[in-house]
Amino acid sequence: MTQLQVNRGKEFRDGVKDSLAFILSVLPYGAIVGALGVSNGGSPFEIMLQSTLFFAGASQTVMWELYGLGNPQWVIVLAIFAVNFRMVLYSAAIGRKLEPLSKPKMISALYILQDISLATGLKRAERPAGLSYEYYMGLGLVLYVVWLVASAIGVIFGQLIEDPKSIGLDMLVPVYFLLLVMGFRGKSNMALIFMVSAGVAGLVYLWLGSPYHIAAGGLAGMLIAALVAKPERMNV
Amino acid sequence: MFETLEASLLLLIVIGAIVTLLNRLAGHYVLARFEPIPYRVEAALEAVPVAVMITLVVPATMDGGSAEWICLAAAILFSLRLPFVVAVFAALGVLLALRYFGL
Repeated sequence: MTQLQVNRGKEFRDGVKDSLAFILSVLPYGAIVGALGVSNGGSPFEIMLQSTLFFAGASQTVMWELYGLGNPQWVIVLAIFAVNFRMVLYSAAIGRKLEPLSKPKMISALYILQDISLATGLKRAERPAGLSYEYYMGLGLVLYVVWLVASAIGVIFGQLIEDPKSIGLDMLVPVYFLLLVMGFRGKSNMALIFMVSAGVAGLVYLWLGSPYHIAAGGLAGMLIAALVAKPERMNV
Repeated sequence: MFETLEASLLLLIVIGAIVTLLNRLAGHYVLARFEPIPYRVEAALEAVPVAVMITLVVPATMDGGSAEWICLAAAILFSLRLPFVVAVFAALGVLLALRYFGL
């Protein structure tokens, strides 16, 4: 590493600089989660605690939606696990780019891992100097702080809303997840997985009702993905 | 009654946070040690987010009327051109407009 000795201060500042482009997209996203928490019965403390500990918008959204609908705890936990499952793949991909790191540093880095840090971090890792802990943390910490500020804004805003339906909050979660799914449309076999999961979930929803459609659709999508997979190495 | 509800919500947040952290650690500390992963397993794992997230759209689709369906269809169209957050608000705008006009 000595020949590629990095300037830690500059690396950190580069990370901060590269985070700025994402602030505008993180802000409304965090505000949505905060407002959704309020409309589903969360207190400001609970909502901020969730944002501090999770730092994972999709799973936070799922938690509030399923909690508001009165689902059993184990169903909500399973849904959080499933929605955050992509983090397992992210972690495997970014961990090796950050190595070698001490355990506390690695854990702190993985704690704030999310979609933006993965994409930006992997891009940074393509440079000869690689991906430094300082760059990664500069980027991630700004996003983390923005996330907390945005959540707080959402909590304040959420308390002003008297009827969530009047601003379309009842459709926010479906729209939000549909758009997240559309973001994966470049991946192989996604259209097929999309249709099989949605179809099975729809039938099970009619037949058994919520929450069984989540597990059934999820498993059906995994099964079809495994069945149609081709043995090339995918880029995890 | 109110207190037990609060406690269960706090517990849910803590368990959810632990599960989320375990996901973030498992990739580097577990999955990365198991290479090469059988390709069918890898494909199934990669499918998890999409396969689960799309099921969360199902109840609104099945229970909704034409305003909700048009809103979701608009969201798909918007996703082809607009950034994520903009598309979310644009689709909700469509929904509110439809509801305003009584659909």
